[in-house]
Amino acid sequence: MLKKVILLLFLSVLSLYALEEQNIQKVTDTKVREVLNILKDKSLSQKQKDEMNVRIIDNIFDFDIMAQISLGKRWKTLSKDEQRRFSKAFEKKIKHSYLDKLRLYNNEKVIIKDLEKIKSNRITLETQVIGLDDTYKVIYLFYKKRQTDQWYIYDVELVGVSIIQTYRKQFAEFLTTKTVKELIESL
Amino acid sequence: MLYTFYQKLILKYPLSVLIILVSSILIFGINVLKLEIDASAETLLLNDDKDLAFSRTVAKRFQTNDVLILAYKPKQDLLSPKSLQTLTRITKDLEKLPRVESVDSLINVPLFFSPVREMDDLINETRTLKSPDINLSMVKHEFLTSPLYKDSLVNKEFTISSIIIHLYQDPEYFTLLEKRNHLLDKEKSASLTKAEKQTLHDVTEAFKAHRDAQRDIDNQNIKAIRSLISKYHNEATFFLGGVQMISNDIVGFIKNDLLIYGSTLILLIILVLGIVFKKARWVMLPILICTLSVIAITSSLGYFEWEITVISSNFIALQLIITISIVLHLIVRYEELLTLYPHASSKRLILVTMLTKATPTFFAILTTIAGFSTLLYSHIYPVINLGWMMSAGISMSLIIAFIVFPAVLMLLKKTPPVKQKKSMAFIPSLTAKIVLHDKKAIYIVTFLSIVFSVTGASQLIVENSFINYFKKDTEIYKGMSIIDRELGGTTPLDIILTLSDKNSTFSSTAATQENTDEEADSFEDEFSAVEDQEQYWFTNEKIKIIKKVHDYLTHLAQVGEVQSFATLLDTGKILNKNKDLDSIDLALIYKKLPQKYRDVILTPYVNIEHNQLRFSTRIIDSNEGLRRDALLKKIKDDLTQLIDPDVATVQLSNLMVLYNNMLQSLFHSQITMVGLVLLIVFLMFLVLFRSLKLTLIALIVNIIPIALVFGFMGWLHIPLDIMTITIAAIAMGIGIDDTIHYIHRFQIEFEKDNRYYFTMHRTSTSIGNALYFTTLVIVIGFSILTLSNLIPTIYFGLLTMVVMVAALTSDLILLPKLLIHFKPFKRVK
Repeated sequence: MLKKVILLLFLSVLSLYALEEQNIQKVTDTKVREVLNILKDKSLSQKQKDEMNVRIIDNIFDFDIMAQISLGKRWKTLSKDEQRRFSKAFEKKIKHSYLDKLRLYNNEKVIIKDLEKIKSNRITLETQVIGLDDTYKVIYLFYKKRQTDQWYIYDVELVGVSIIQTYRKQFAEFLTTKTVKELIESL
Repeated sequence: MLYTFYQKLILKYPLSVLIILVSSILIFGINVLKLEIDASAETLLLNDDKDLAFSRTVAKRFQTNDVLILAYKPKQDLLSPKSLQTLTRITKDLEKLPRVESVDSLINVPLFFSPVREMDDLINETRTLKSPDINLSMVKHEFLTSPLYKDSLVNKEFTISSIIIHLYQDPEYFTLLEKRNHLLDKEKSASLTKAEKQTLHDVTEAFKAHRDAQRDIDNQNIKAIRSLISKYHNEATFFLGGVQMISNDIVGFIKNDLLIYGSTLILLIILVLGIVFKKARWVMLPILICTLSVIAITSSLGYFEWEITVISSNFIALQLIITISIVLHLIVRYEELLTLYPHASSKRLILVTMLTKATPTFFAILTTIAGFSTLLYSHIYPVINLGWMMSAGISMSLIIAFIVFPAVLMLLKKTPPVKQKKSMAFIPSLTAKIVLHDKKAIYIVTFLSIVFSVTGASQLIVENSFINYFKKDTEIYKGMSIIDRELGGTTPLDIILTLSDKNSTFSSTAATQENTDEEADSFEDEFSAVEDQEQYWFTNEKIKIIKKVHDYLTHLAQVGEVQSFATLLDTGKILNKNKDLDSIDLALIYKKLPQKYRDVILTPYVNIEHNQLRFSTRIIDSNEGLRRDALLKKIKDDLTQLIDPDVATVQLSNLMVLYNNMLQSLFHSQITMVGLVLLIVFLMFLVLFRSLKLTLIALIVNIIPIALVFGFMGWLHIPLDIMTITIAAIAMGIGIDDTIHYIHRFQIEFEKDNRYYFTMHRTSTSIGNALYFTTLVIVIGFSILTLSNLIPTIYFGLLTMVVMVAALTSDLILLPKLLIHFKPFKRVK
């Protein structure tokens, strides 16, 4: 069940690029169809599918901000070099996890639901993943980057579980006994 | 005063005195009906054990309830239609019992891998053996390999399976207990108001009433299960297990043993008394006095509402020993006087007997009471109670013997003295000869005894294995060991990890970047607000710890079944195509899991609110190499090494820990007790003999038999446990009595001619007889106990015999030898 959910969360954001507010819903919907097609395409090898999928999410997920949030206040204690290395490692981790879950795709449907503006620089987009026996709610959390005025995904909530929050807790616990260097290595 | 008491009352109105005494004892005897026997495992626990409070907290927090385990061994294959049919029927029958909440067995446990399915399929539809199109060979494979079921639900050979009977929790018990303990704690720290005192009294009463009622229900429940089993005995073999059942059964066995062997013991004593004294009165009188004493003490117990427990169940046997000893001393003294003064009046003879024996007997009883009073220093109710019971019991024996003996004799005609055959009383005169002709042999033997005792005592182990209470060839042992060895162990032990609350939130002052980033701060606020939600609790760090601890526990040879959150992780891994579940998976499972599953797989092992993890294990009680205390220490030490103490702290709980605490406390209180007794006895001897030299001699003579008992236990690998612990008290009681009687008599005889050798000979052949006959009667009587099927009863009989013989030898050989050697008495001109 959860694998499907995770998979679909990623499915539904495939092939997005940095968005403007009015496009979020429409583009998401279109791109999801594309991705589903890629996944269903039996002529592609697993490696090819993986590469295409990674390319798709590169533009829409803000991995830097995700890495920053996942470390919480600790982020500011890192040197510039450590921040850069951590962001890289974290991005790799997220992508690896994403590809891993994507392999579980099993003909589920994805429906894009409502967009909700929480405040001036935060938007949530609700989608539904419909499997054979169950339907799951997946919410994408967008924020508006001041420098570019574009919207990026900074977190995803599956059935009420925030991916970034999960990592935040994990890293916080890890860092009670270990160093950032060890954390980067473990990622 | 004593002279007047006998002259003016007992010997003047013997019949009236007897009638009044016997009838008051019999009237008071109605209280025997109030006598309660408390067989619960709870009685074996320490009064003020912090671990007990912790174990109760754990039981509440993780919602664990009591279980009974029924091993089911059908005549056909476990999964054959017939044996599954029987299992279905017995499960239904068991579920109807009022105390039974639910029953888990092969037929209704969820199947996860038959075949392996998606997790949401599992949640939506639970498959069991009863589901349609079940593949039995797949199911068999699952039972034998699943982390949830292997080696606990079925054995390796797949011939026996467990039926796990979950009993209802008793919230009322805990409510009353907490109320009572709260008030008791308050009473210790401050004074209670009048209203609170009344409440405490009411709650204590209510608690006791509830507990008694509950105990009856529990016993009924076990009986009902047993009668159910017997209905199916043509189709399968059953063994009932579980700690509470075992401890209840043991008490049943002990009670039976006491009844069968106790009555045989009485008959044997009658027989020996008849052979030794050849007079009906010398058989009837001891029996009458013993009977009255036992009635008096048991009615007192009923009156004061003291309960008999496993530990105090042999107090009647102990009281018999001491009462017989008192009466035999009186008989021997009376016969002695009768032989010396055959023409003296009966009244005169009785009076002199009573007066000459009063002081030594009084002191002998006083020192015995001192010995038993030290039991009050242990922290275990039953042991403390035994101390009280024995102290009260032997005081009563003393009073009853010193009233009934002269009164009855006054009513009987004087008979000619008993002519002892040489063969009957050859021992005392033989010991006198040994002492006379000895050069160094006695000291050499004493030295060797000390070496034997010290080397033996150093091997003494403190263990309490319920399974080993039974002989290996008995049915009950076989049944217990099947559950123990093949179905996951017996004694429950919980390992509780409390994870530290430390999180790595940093103050912004630690920041190396000077610009505060508004955007980052707004994210920080957003995520901090929800970070304590329960689904985020399952971090990889915690998963690692859980697996580490679980793996460690499963690799311990003495540990049987281990269940924890790791069992779920292992099951999840199999369902997840052999990939470990990560924290995102677990957070999702946590959010999606229906309550009924949460109660089974999460609540017993994870408590998010208190940041605690529980690992539930069962210890293999019959494991030969099991050293309980060492194992618990090892587990705690190893886990403290394995897990950073900044990350989590380790605590052990449940019955295994509680029994071990009780045993360790028993062991340490034994050491303190022996020291304390020797000190008290030293002071008493000093008061009684008024000579330091004599006191030290008496003390040395008494240390030897006590040491010998421990030496024997060490060399024979008899563990110090709740049953053998009272032996030391007997050793002291009996040994000291003998010594006091001997020295007292020696003193009197020495005044006649001031010659040690002759004095020794006279003392050994007079008082020596009383000591010898007491020992003879008790050793022969108690030898019957060694035929029991219950190991503790055998040990009790055997060790009592060892104590008696050691004390007699020490008092008839070593004591006179030391007296002659050190000459402690002043010559009287």
